Parts: sequence; structure tokens; C-alpha cells
Amino acid sequence: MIEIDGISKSFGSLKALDRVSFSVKNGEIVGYVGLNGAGKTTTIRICIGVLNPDSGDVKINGYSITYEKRIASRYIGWVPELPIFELDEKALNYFVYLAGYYGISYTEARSLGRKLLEEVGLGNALNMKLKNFSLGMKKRFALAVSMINNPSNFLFDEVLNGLDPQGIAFFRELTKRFKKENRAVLFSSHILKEVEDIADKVVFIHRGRIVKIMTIDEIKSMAKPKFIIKIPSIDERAIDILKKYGDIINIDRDTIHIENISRDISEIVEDLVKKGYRVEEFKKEEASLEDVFFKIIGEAK
Amino acid sequence: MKIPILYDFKRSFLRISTIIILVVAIALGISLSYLTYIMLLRTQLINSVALHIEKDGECTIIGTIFDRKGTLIDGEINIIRNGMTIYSTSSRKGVYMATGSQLCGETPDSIEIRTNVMNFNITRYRGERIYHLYISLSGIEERWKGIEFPEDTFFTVYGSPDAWIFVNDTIAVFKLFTISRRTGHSILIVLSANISSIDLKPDLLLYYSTYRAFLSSEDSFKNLSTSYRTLEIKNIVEVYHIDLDPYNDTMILSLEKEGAIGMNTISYGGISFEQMYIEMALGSGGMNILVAFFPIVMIYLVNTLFAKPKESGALEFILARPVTRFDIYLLRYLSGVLTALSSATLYVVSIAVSSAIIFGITLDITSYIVLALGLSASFIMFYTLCYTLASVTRGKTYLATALALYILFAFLWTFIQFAIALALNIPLIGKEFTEFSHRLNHINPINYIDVVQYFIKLKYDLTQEISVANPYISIAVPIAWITVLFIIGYKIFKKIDL
Repeated sequence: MIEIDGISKSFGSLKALDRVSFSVKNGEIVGYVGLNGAGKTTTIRICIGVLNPDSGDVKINGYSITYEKRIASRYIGWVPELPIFELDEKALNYFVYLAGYYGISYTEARSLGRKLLEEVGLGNALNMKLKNFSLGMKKRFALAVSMINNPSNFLFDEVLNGLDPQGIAFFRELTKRFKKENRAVLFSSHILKEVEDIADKVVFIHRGRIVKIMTIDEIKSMAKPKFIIKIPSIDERAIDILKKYGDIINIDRDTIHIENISRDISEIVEDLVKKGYRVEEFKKEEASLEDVFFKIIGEAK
Repeated sequence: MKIPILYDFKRSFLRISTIIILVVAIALGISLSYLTYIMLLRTQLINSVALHIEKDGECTIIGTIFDRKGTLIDGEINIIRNGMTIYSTSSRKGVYMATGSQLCGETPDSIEIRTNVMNFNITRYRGERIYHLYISLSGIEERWKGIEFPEDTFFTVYGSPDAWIFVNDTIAVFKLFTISRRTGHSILIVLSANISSIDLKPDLLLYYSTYRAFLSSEDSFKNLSTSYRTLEIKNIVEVYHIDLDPYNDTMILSLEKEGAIGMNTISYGGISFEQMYIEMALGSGGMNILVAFFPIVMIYLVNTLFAKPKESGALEFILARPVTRFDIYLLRYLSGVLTALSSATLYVVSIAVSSAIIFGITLDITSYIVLALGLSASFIMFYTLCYTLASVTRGKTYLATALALYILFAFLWTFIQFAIALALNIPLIGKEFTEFSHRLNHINPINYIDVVQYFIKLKYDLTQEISVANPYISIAVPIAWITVLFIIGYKIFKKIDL
């Protein structure tokens, strides 16, 4: 379980995080969504203990990452967006080196390294230097390393960025498997769609502040379809007619965007035609999660 | 944490750059020590002593050739009178002998000796008048008495013996080689003959002991009477490996023939072969190469182990393991420290072993330990400075600053010393500047080795004592330097955002 409790962090005059609090329970996948620079990576770096918060704390399985880092870190696995290693090292050797920090013996670490690297699809790259790894391979290597101690909590930071479809599918399936294994997974992304299928809830962050925490069902319910009506001559009267049917969200020359339709949609066209308007086009457009995302962020503004 | 530290150490120590510098330094150390050794052997090097004996119209020259270490060596012999060779022979096992009437009459001017190493002449010995004394071994109360040579017997000594004794018609010439002033190990060559009968089979007993020249004669003789050693002289040339008391400085020799005793002394308090070798070996090119260039390896190591991973973000990935910042800071630091210790130890051991095998000369074990620790301290001081610098700086600033400091300590230090001395009105030559320089060397990681060498040289009487030198301060300064810089570096590293 990951408990983030009121963490704040500033870089110079820039407030990167402002009293961020939420938690990820065991067996739960939490999507952590925000625009680039919103504070997702900063939050995760504080969670894994590589960045010190100005205030607040993070508890991993009840252990403070600030004050009990040696213990807390044993329960976290982390795959960064751009994993950076000492690139002159060979994969298995570096795995063994990193396993040493967990107190695992050389022989055991080599055996575990072979097993985990095989498991993440790097079985044929054990003796390849890390500098020759692609981004996808680096992420898989970071994953294998994060699984050294079989932790109960995982932090995936924009992990799908830059991956090929196979890589994306791999991480998605793995995340679902972790959930089944009752692990807590925090899955950050700047694309809401990425977490749609896997997250139980989504934490929205914007400019360092948590702006909303919603379940996927709540998000989906917000994703209502919108209608686009094209009338050559839009005037105040036409707008008044349409307001009776729903919320006008945008008017662009001869096109009106309307959502939250409260009545039968066929009545709209009929009403407009009766009142002398020529409806050139009428179409329904399904709302995307990104719209919801931007709407939430927009509300936060 | 065993694996990470060993792994970091392995990739620090087994780096091409580390190995190259070490191998070059060791190879240079050994080869230059060898060169030193050969030079020492060749510069004063091969010598000879000889006796010309004339008795009833029969003349004989017996002599021996030896190098600086007292090893007998062979050569071709030409006996010269008035610029002409009157006799030629060659030595066998370091001993030569010439007999014939042509050697009689006017005493030959010189003996020319040709060896593989060098050619040289020895001439008639012109030492001070030596008083030949009788003394009984039974006690110090015995009378001392001058002796007279037999009237019909003439002898001449050639070369530069350290002492000679005439007793009961027998002459013995001594050459003493102090191999190690520290252990007292010496080689004594004795050339002797009965000049009354040209008996080439002398049958003598040589008693020897040692004393310190500044003690009263009474104390000296107490020492002599209780701890003399005996050597039997059976051949014209005898070579003895003897151990003289290293705390004394004078050897007293008593030669007995048929109850009569002749006595003389030889001072062995001067610079020994070992001292000359150590003096040159300590300042040898190998050590200089290592001290001058290993700091560059240290700069590179800090860059590899700390500055680069910190800058690139690789350190962050490691920090996500169950370790604290202090653990990472310490582990990576210790890897470099281990590399410094291993390199210094390997260098000193290589030099010690090769010196022992090739030259048969070694420093005492404490001096080797001091040298290894001093070298290590020098490397670790500079490594710690760089490590702290890497905590403070980012990117290429580290390399630029570290190199600037290296240039400062390695190449500009002399100018800095002079500048400070001038500012403090310290004359640039003399005792005051030596003391000032000694003090200042403590805070230069590269020059710190001079401080260490000072104490080793002092132990071997190879340098003048510096009144301000204090071994405790010399130990405390690097410890303080390393500790303070390490703490400052960690305090900064603890707070920075990686």
C-alpha cells in the first residue's frame, strides 16, 4: 500500500507539488494523470525516495520513505519513463550489482537475474551492454530490477511512452497481473486513455495539485456524447431553440456543438426545420476520455 | 552491500586507465631502481686492494678485486712501473697473485685492473701512520705497545683499505662494506700474508666487536670484552658476512697470531650501499610517475563512480534500491578508496619484492608500510577532494575544476610556495624555507609523499632533521583533510535534488 500524505516540493521558485495526498491500496491500480510537467514524476520520485519532499511524507506498507528508506524501498518497484543506468555495464552483471543492494548473494543474484530478465523478454540480451538497449529494452530491464525483491507496490512512470504495441500490451498485461496478485500499482500517464482499461481509479494532477480523484466509472459517465449541428445562418433565435435541448459548448461560424441532450434528439432537427432553419448536417460525436481530462483540468483552472 | 562495493571496486581497479598507470609506474619503478643499482655499482664501484711483499729478493703481489657490495669479481691485471707493464695476469675468483724478480727493486707505481664493467688503476696507499698495538684478550689492563717491522722485510699496500694490522710478521688488510646500516649487515674482506716467510696460508684469528665512538674508552672496551666474535683466517683472501651492531658506529678488530695481538678500528657510521640505493630508489621515476599521474586516474574514477552517474541520473536508479543517500555516497567513495589503497600497496609490494629479488636490498617492513600508507593517503586525499567537488558541481564543471586543482597541486605548487614565502618574508633557501615547505606539503595531496619520504629517509640517516616535523601532525593532517571534505561533500549531496 502506498500512502501519499500531503507532500509538497518546490524547485527554486517553482512549486512542483502542493500538498499532494492520495493512496494506492493493495490490489488496486491507480492511474496518475496530468499534463507534462504537472508533477507526476516528481510525486513518484518522492515515493521511491530519490527526491526529498519539502514537507509531507510517503508511506510504503506503513514505512516512511523519508525516515525508514532502507525498509520502505524493499517494498517498491519502479519503472521510470526514461530509465538511466551506467551504460557500459552488461545487463546481467548490472542486475547482479543492483541485487547486491538487496543483500542477495552473487550466485543467487545471477540465477534470479537470468529468470527475471527472461521473464521480461530479455533472455537473449543477458550479456549485452546496456548502452545498446532500446528504450523498450531499458524499461523491461528496469522492470526486471524492480521485481528483484518481489515487492508489493509498483510505480510505473509514463511506462508506455515510446513502446511498440507489443511492449504496451506487455506492460498492460503485467499491470493487470500485479493487481490480481494483490499488489498496489500507481500508473502515471499524460494520456487518460492509457489508464482507461486498467485503472480502478484515476488521480488527476494539474500544476502540482490534485484536482480530482475519480473512479473509471465516474469518468466514463462524464464522457457524454456531443452533437454537431450545421446551420448556414446561426442567429440568437436558433441558439435559444437549441438551449432548450442541451448545453451549447461551442459555436463556430455555422456549426454548433451541443451536449447533455435532455430530450429525444430527433426533436431537435424537427424543431429547427419547423422554425425555418435549414439543417445541413447533424451528427453525433462520442466524447473521449481526453475531453473529460481537459474538462477536469479546465475546471481546475 | 558486499557485492556493490566489490563490483564498484572491481570496475575502478580493473579499469584500463588504472592498470596502465600502475603497470607503467611499477615497470618504471623496477627498471629505474635497477638502473640506480647499476649506476651505484658502476660509479664507485669496482675497486681493489693489493699487497706487495719483498723478502730476501723475492717479490710477490697479492690482491683482490671487489665491487661496492663486497662481491669478488674477476679481471685482467697489469702491473705498471714507469709507465710500462712489467707483469700481466688475471684474477681467479676475485684474487690475483704475481710473483717474480721483475717485481722487485723499485716498487711498482700502480696496478691496472680491467674488468667487464670498468678499467681502473690502484696506486700505493698513502694513509696516515697507523700505530700497531699489542693487546691481550684477557683484559683491558694489558699494556699497549708500538711494534717494529722486521728490518729485512718490506711491504707496500695498494688501493684504499679501511684498515690494516701488522702482527707477528703477518700483515692483514681489511675492507669493510656496510650493506645495510639498519641491520648492520656487512661484508668484510681480509687480505693477509705472512711477510717474513711469504707464507700464503696465514693462520690467524680475528676478533671483532663494535662500539660507539663517542663513548668513553672504558665503556668501549667493556663492550669489546663481552661481545667479541671470532673469525678464522685460513686463506690469503677471506670474505666474511658479518652483522655489526647497528646502534654502534665503529668496528674494533683484533688480529691474533701466536698469542700476539694487533688492533685497529674501522668506522662504519657512514652512508651504506643500502642508504644510497634507498635515497635514489625513493625518488625514483616509478614513484614520481605514480604520484604525479595517479591523481588523474582519481579524477577519472570520481567521474565514473560519482559525477557522471549523478549527472546522468544513473545514481537515481540505484538510489531507488533499499539504500540511503549516505550508503550510496559512502559505498562509491569506498570503492575509490579501496582502489587507491590497492594501487599503492601493489606498487610498494612490487618494488619491495623486485628489490629483494634483484638487488637483495629491502627497506624495513615499517618503512614499506609507511610508504604504502603515505602513497594511499596522497591518493585518497586527492580522491576525496575530487569526490567533494563532484558533489558540489554539475556536468563538465567537475572535470574542469578537478583538472585545474590537479595542475595547481602538481605544477604550480612551487610558485605558490615561493609566493607565500615571499609574502611571509621567509628566505627562499635555508632551514626556514625547508621547514615552511615541509609544513605546506601537508596540504598538497600530491606533495604529501615528500612528507612521508622525509620520515623514511630520516630513519635511514639520509636527511637532515627538520625541527618542525612531527609524525603525529603528519598523520593527523590527511585524516582531517579526508574527514572534513567527506563530511562537507555528504552534507551537500544529502540536500541536492538529483
